[in-house]
Amino acid sequence: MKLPTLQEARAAIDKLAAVTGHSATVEAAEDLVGIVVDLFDGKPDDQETLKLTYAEARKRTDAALDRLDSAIADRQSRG
Amino acid sequence: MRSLSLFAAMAALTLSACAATSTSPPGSYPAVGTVGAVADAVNLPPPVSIADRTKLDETVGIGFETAVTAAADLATLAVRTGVVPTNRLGELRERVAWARAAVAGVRAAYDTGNAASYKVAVAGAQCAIARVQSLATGKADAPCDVAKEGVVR
Repeated sequence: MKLPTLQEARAAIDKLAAVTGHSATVEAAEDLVGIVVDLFDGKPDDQETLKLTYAEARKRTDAALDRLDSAIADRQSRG
Repeated sequence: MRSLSLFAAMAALTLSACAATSTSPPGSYPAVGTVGAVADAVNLPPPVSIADRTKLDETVGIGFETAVTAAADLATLAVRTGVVPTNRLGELRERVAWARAAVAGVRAAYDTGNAASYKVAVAGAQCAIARVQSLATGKADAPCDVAKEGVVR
């Protein structure tokens, strides 16, 4: 499977912005791509910062899964 | 049509959020499982024993967590915009629970080093997350062997 290049990821974000007009989602997407780009560039490069970044990534994941659960519950409550 | 455009972007974005590694050529983003496979191929010891000598664990972990976050956020958007039909929300909820358990498995592998292979935990979690994404996008489930990839439901 062909994985997207950074340029393709950028194009995907632009497309997302054009379609949804949902600025918070687009900003979140940019943040996520930024994290991956930093990783690719070898940043952060010290163990302690890496551990902290990983801990933050876990919290971000938990929050994202919580938002998904809440969105599902909200839709279900509205029938 | 709006949904198709949206999810074409979502799919590309989620893939782009998969882990990067310092051994990759510029502009390409290997999947998290690939990173785990590399770790196994060079016979690296379990995560805890190498935790203080290499940044491989955290790099894989950060990349993986980032990919999960992207998939979850995009699935949330799919739910909120009504792309996921109401009659499939229960199934999506079950898959999210499965994904949470799989993510916890990856974290446990990192935290305790109890997993025989970090790769197995990551591959299993990737499978779970892919199932969340496929339901959100309306595409067929990604081909992943639940038994082989060590996913416990």
